[in-house]
Amino acid sequence: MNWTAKAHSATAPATSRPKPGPAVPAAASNRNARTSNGLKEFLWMISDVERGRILDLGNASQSTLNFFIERGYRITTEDLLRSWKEFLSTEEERLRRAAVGQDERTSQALLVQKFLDSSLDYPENSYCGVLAWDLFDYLDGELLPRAMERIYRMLTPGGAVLSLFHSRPPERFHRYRILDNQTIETMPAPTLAVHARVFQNREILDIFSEFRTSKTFVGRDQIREALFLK
Amino acid sequence: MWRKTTEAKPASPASNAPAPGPVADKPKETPQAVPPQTASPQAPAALAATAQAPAQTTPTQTQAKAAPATPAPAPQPVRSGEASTISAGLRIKGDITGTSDLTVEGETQGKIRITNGRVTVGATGKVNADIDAREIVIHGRVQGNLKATESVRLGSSGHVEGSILTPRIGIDDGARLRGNVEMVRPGDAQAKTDQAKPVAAARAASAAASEE
Repeated sequence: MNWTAKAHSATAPATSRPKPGPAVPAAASNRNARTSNGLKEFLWMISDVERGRILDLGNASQSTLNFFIERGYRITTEDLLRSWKEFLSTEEERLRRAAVGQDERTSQALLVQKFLDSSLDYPENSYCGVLAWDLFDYLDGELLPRAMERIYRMLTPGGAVLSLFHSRPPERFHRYRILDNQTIETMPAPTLAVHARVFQNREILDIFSEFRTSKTFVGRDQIREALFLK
Repeated sequence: MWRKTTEAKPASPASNAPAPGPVADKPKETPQAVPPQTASPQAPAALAATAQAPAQTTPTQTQAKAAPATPAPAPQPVRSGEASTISAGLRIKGDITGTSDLTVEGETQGKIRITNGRVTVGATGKVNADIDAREIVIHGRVQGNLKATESVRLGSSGHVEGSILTPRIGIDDGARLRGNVEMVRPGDAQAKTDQAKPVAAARAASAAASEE
């Protein structure tokens, strides 16, 4: 049985006339909205922090910004995946323009180091929460552990990371934003990067090996939400 | 028919157009008093980095109205809200201060401080410095902090690397932001801006004293 087809057929087609009835919240009427237990738990974990700082590693979203600002948090956004891809293109361009004989090909490790010299560079213990979304599914092998080191370092003790992992390669690239305290909207977006790999449970735990505790939630869309505490 | 209509039209003083008729009836060409742009208190505030045009009387300003008997139409006041534009291809180094709206389509390096106006960085605009204004709209690229007393808006092609301090923020899908966002109450952003004034004044005073 094709579960994908079933999932699609279960949702009302866009052209169907809405049935009369009580008004539903925007999040509930949104086809791309998904209930997120991970988000609910994440918010609960950071709720004790007064005027805490949140780092959003996805795209800048009005909805997510408003959500945290209205709750008194300060928010920083850094679209890490886009920055990485742009950095790689710039490096490629630089190599292409280099004169013959001046080829300065650098190893992946050096590239990552160069990238991190100007990215993810925040003071230690400065953020109470990091929204990584599905970033780790798309990061190249060398960058992933180094980025994780940085994230661990910038988190305050007790700080939380919320990340999403696909249980199978996603059909398309998505961006995410928070609609309310238990709803995330997945927004199809132009492909920025190719899905690198599907992580197994054990591998996810290995990535976050420095972290103290973890919780995972699997949604009906086969997206695994992982919450880790420093 | 058309000739009859023309003849029937009297050279009435009420008419604004010079009426065909005897030479004696032709009104004298007396210049109307059009205040020069710089004399108007409503003139757009000078931008430090933009060249100021001298107050010249242009031929259009000296042209007489055809009907001297009719009250002269009120001169068009220069609107203070008129935006100054740094066009694409222009590159300015240095601070820019003023009160009228500013649109940047070119490239600037230096603080932009438009105390009571709007700064718009167009799609081709690049700003490598802080922007301090009442309202900031970004469609281009900014490397610097944004401080607005009213609102900041990032268009879908906007790209900001720096902190944002504002009472209201709008971010279109596709906009890029790398930095902090801090919301303040409407008065607070101005207060934070004004805190820097005494320091700047003190520095200027000490600089003047050392020159003496």
